[in-house]
Amino acid sequence: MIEIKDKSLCCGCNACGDACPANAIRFEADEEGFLYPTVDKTICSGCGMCDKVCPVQAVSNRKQVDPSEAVSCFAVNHKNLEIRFDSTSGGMFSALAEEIYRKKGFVGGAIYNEDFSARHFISDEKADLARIRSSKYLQSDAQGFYRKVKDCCETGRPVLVCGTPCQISALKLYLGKDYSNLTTVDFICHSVASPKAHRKYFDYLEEVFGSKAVYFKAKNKELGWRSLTKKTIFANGRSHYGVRGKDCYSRAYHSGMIDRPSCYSCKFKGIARDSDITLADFWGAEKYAKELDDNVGTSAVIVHSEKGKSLFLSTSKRIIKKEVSIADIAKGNRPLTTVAAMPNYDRVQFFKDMDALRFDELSNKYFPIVAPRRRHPVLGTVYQIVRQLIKETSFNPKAILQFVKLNFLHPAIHTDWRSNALIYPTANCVFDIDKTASVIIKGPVRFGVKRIKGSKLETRLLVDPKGRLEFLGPARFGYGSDVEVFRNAHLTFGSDCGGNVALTVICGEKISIGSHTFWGREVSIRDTNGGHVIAMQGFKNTNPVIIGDFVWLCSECKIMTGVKIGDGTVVGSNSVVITPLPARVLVTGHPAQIIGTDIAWKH
Amino acid sequence: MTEQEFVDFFASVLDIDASSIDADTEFRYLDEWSSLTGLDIMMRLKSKYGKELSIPDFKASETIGDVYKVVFG
Repeated sequence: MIEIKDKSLCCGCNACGDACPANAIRFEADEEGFLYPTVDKTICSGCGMCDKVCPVQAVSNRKQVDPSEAVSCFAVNHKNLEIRFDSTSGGMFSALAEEIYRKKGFVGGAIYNEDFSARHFISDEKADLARIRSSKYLQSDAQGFYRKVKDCCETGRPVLVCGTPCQISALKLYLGKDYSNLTTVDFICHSVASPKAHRKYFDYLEEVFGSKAVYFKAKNKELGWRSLTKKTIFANGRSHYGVRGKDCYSRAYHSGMIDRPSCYSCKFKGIARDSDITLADFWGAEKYAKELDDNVGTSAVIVHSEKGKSLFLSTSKRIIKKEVSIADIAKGNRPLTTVAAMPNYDRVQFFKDMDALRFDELSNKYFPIVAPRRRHPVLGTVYQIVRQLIKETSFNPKAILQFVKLNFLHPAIHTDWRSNALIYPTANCVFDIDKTASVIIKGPVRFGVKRIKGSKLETRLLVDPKGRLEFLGPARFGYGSDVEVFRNAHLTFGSDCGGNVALTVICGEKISIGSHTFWGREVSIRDTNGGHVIAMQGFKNTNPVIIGDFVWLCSECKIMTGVKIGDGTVVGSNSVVITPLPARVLVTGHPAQIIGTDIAWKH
Repeated sequence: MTEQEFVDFFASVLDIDASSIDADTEFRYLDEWSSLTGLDIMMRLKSKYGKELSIPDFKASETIGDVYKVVFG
C-alpha cells in the first residue's frame, strides 16, 4: 500500500490511483500545490498494485543500456512555419502526432485547463493537437489518464503518448506489457513546477491587466525562440509579453524554488529512457545545426527504439532534419543528465509567502532581477560609448564632431550618456534641429547606419522650431533616411524599432511609431499633405498617424495621413495604406486589403 | 472541372509535372510551395473560373482534393 512518508519519493505521476482496483486512492494538493496520494484504508484490499506501478519504487529495475550506442539523434524543424511558431521547440511532436492522426490513432499529452492548470488528455481528434503541443511549465494532473491510454491501446489503433520521463515510466509499469501500437515520447525535463505557483502568476497578471487570461503560450516566438517569451492574451484584448529574466514566472521557474520536492533527487535523468523518443529544445542549434536555426525554434530528437525510429522516419515529408550526436544535444541541455539543484532558501516560509504576497512581490523578494554589475560603472560606460562611436562613425571627423555637438552642446537635445541614450551619426548625416525644438533620447539612436561602408548616401534629420521628437529607447535608421518634424509637430519612436535604407517620415502634426516596429527599404510615413488643398468636404491637411507595437512595414509601402495600425500587423511590399488596420493582420495592395488575419510573425 | 483537371491546374501554377502529384497530395509540403503560391491560386481561381476561395476555407484544406471539394464540390 502506497504511503508517502518522504515527499521526495513521490513524483506525482498519479499512476497508483489508476492502478487501484478498489479506487481507494485519492489525491490531495499540499500547501505547495502538489498532489499526493492517500489510501482509504477502509476499502483498500491490500493487493499492492499501487506499489507495483510506482516508478520511483521500480527505479532499480529500469533498463540499463550503454547510452551512447543505443540512440540516434537529430535536429529537426517542422516544414510548416505556422506549426513551428505555435510549438515551443521546432514542432517535432506535431509531426509525430499528425502521422498518428492520419492512421486514425490516438494522441495524448498535457493540455491547459481553463484556469491554466494542466491535465493529461488523450483523443483521436486532430483539432486537439493545438492544445496538446507545446511544453507546459507546471505539473499536470494525470488522474484517470493511464486507464484511458490502456483503453486506447486495446483498440489496436496507433497510440502516441507524451509525458515527463517519470510519467512515461509509470505508464509502462501500469500497462504491464509492451503494446506494439503504442509509441511513447518524453522530453528533457528540467523539473515539474508547482501548479499553485503557476496559478498565482495568473492571479497577479489578471489583477494588473484587469481581465481574465484567455490564452497563454509558455514560449511565444514573436520576439524569437531564445527570448523564451511568455505570452498571455486577456479577455479585454490586451496582451502581455514576459521575456526571459524579467517575467515573474520565468524567474520563478529558473530559481528552482517552485520545483516538486522529488525533482531534486530525480531518478529519471540520463540518456537511456523508458520512452521511444525524447524531445527537447535544441539549444546549441546555432553551432550543430546552423542551417536549421533561424531563432524560430529547432527540436532536438533522441530516438531510443526501433518503434521510435519507424514513427520518426514516417514524418520525413513534414520535417527538415539533420543527424547530430548525443554530445551536441547534451551540451546545451544539462537537464538531460543533471538533476535540478535545490536552492538555499526557507521553503516553508517561501510557500507561506506565496499565499500572502502577490506573485510579483514574491518574485521581487525571492528572485529579484539582477542588473549586471560593472567593476567601474563610469569607465565601463565610457568605454562602451567610445567603442560604439568608433564603430558607427568609422573615425569620420565630421561625424565625431556631430556626435559631440548633438549630444553634449545642442540646447534642444536631451540625452543621458550614463544610460547610453545618445545619437550616433555615421558619415554623411545632415542635421537641422532648431534651438527651440525638443529632442528627447532615451536609448542609443543609430542614425544613417550603412550596409555598404563607402557609400555617401545622405541621411537627413530636420526638427523645426517647437517641433518635438522622442525616442523611447534604442532605434536604428538606415542610410538615406529622411525624417522631418515640422513646426509644433510631435513625432515618437518606440523602443527597439528600426529598419532599412531610406525611410521617409514627414510629420506635420503627430506621428507615433510603436516599440519593436520595423521597416524595410524606402518606406514612407506621413501625416500631412504639405499644405496642398483638395476642395472636398472633410479634407484635412494633417491627420495623426498611430502605428502600434511590433508592426512590420515592408519595402516601399506608404502609410498615409490619418492611418492607425494595430499591434502585430504586417503591411506588404508596395502597399498604400489609407484606412485604419486592426491588430495582427497581413495586408497588401493599393488601397491595402486584408489577406490574412490573426497572423504571427518574428523579425 | 474534374478533380484531375484541377490537379493539372494546380501543377501548372506550381510549374511542376502533373504526374508527380494527385488529389491526396498535401500541397503545403511540396518544395515548390510558398505562401504566395496560395494567393496566386486564389486569384487565378477568381479570374479564370469566377470561383471564390475564402482564406479560412483555404487554410482548412490540406490536400489538393480538399481545395477541389471546397471550390467545385
